Amino acid sequence: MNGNAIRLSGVRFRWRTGAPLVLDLAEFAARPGERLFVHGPSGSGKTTLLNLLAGICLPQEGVVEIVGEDLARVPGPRRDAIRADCIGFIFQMFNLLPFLSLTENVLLPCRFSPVRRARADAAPGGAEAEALRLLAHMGLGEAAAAGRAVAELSTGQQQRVAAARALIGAPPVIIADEPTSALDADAQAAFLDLLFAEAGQSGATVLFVSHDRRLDAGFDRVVALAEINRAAGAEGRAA
Amino acid sequence: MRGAPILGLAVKSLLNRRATVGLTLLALAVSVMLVLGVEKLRTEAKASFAATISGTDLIVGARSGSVQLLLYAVFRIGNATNNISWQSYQEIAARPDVAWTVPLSLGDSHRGFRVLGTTGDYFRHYRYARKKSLAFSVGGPFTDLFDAVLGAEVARALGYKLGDPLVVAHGLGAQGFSNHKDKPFRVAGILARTGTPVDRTVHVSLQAIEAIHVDWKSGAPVPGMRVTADQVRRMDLTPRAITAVLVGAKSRFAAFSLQRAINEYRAEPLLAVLPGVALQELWDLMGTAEAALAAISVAVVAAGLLGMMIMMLAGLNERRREMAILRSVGARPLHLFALLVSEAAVLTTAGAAAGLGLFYAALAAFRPVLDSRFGLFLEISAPTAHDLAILGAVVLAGVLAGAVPALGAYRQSLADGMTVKL
Ligand SMILES: Nc1ncnc2c1ncn2[C@@H]1O[C@H](COP(=O)(O)OP(=O)(O)O)[C@@H](O)[C@H]1O
Ligand SMILES: [Mg+2]
Repeated sequence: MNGNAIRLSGVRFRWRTGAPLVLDLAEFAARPGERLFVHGPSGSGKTTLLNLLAGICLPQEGVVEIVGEDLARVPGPRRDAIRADCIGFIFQMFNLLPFLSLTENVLLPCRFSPVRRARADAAPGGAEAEALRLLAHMGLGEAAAAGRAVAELSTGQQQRVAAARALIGAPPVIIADEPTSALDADAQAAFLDLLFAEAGQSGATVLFVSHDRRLDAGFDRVVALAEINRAAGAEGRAA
Repeated sequence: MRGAPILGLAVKSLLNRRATVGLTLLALAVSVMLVLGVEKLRTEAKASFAATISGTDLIVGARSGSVQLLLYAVFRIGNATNNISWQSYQEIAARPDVAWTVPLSLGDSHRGFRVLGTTGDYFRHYRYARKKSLAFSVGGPFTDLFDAVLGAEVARALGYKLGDPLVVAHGLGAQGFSNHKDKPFRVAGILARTGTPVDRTVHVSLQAIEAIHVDWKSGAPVPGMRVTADQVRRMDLTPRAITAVLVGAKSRFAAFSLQRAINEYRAEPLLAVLPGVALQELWDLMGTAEAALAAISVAVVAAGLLGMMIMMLAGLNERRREMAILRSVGARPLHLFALLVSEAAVLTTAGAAAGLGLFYAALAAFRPVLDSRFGLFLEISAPTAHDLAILGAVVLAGVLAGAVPALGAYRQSLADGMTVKL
């Protein structure tokens, strides 16, 4: 353990052999509890970076560590388990499964991670109560209680359900890939406030990527991907 | 939720796609119903077929094919090409190794039902199923010359009660101009249901058959010759010929030597068959049709499963987002494989269950028709081990069919990861 929540070292990644290098990172790390904002234009490799952190893609070279475990050195099932146990994801849009209730969507990670399941169960009132508490905190208590379907929610509301899902079972890392790009400015700010408040409580590291650097208020550190990425192939450099 | 993280998702995902899933389920259910139905018909038909005649050692008729003899003598289907002379019949009946004989005379009909001329011995010696004898639900055997005993189905279909009059038609056509209305019969007895062709037979005495034909020659009334019912009672009504004879031998061993003796009978060409052998021969003739029916029902199930596979494959692309979300919350590619296989398992299990339900509903609905029209009595009974094996095979085949789209989902999720271009 080196005390980092996430760490990338000497990482080089291309999607296919022969394809241009998308990421070439010498050293990049985030401390536990740190709020990190990474920005870069579209196509610069932000989502690719998150795929590496998720263990969905493996770098051709280098080390990708989540809470001290090198994803490239563990077998596939363990990588999936690390993702389930340690990372809460929020995507740009369409985060939810339409055939599950709001609570079921929030509890989804608990189906695959016994660790998060146990933590959610340990919350006062158990996992269901914890899911409802998070939804209520996101301003969706009534919607959840009324049994509203995913399709009946606005995009902003859906993103807040996704945030509750990322937070359930207190994973040490929250990764958000442009989660507010479909929201208006007021909703963006409100969303970030809620996310920070909850992540602050659980002590989670927040890694937030966006092409829109105006959102950087409230973060501990702001990083331009172009500054740390030495890959010449990334298209976003020119933009 | 903890125990089956995938199965619960599979069920909910299926419920979310009610329209397409519902149609697929219907196709599966109908195909399963068909397989069970064909299987039921096959086994019951065979059982009821084998139960048509028992306790008779030999069936004797004019020389023709053994299947043909069985068909007209027992199933009342088709016609005899030739008769047995009364003389030959007397000689067979008098043999020391013969325990009993029942003469049969066919050729007339009553409103679509065959009329069988025979003797009272018919009701004593005819056996069906496991050596069951004929029973009267009302009345009894013929006592008067113009008494008739009806099979259960004849009485039910035509609404006859004891004492009702009936007119026998000449030949096998519908009631036409050519009938024996000058010599009406009276219902003296109605037999209990047997599930055999007996139910569809009108029984009269041999003498009655003779009586209604005294003023007929070569299938038409003799012009100018009129014999009234009263006059005919005073005539000698010994038949000149009969159509077939059921023979009971003194012993099983005697039946074989008797069969040989009759087949080598010199005065006229005769044929004696063992009913069991002839029944098997007849059933074998229908074996091809039976196999074809079974093959068709299997093909229908295959089509149903193929439909399911197509639905699932077609849905893969629009479910990429769903897969990506599941991956992001920790699902392994193997989980996604399991998700689709579970969906297939749930679908086929539901299809098999619904098919079983449809089968019983159809059985209840069509039972009366099959019974009355085809004399096929189908029992509503719990699924047999064979039925359950069929259902199990359908579910197994469904799971295997589901593995194809599941493999697609597995590959797709490996390629897509969490990034799906929308
Ligand atoms: N699944 C993929 N397969 C192949 N190439 C990809 C894939 N996803 C992204 N890329 C490529 O990687 C580069 C970076 O894309 P991405 O990480 O999505 O950028 P960003 O998220 O910053 O917009 C782009 O050139 C893109 O075409
Ligand atoms: Mg992106």
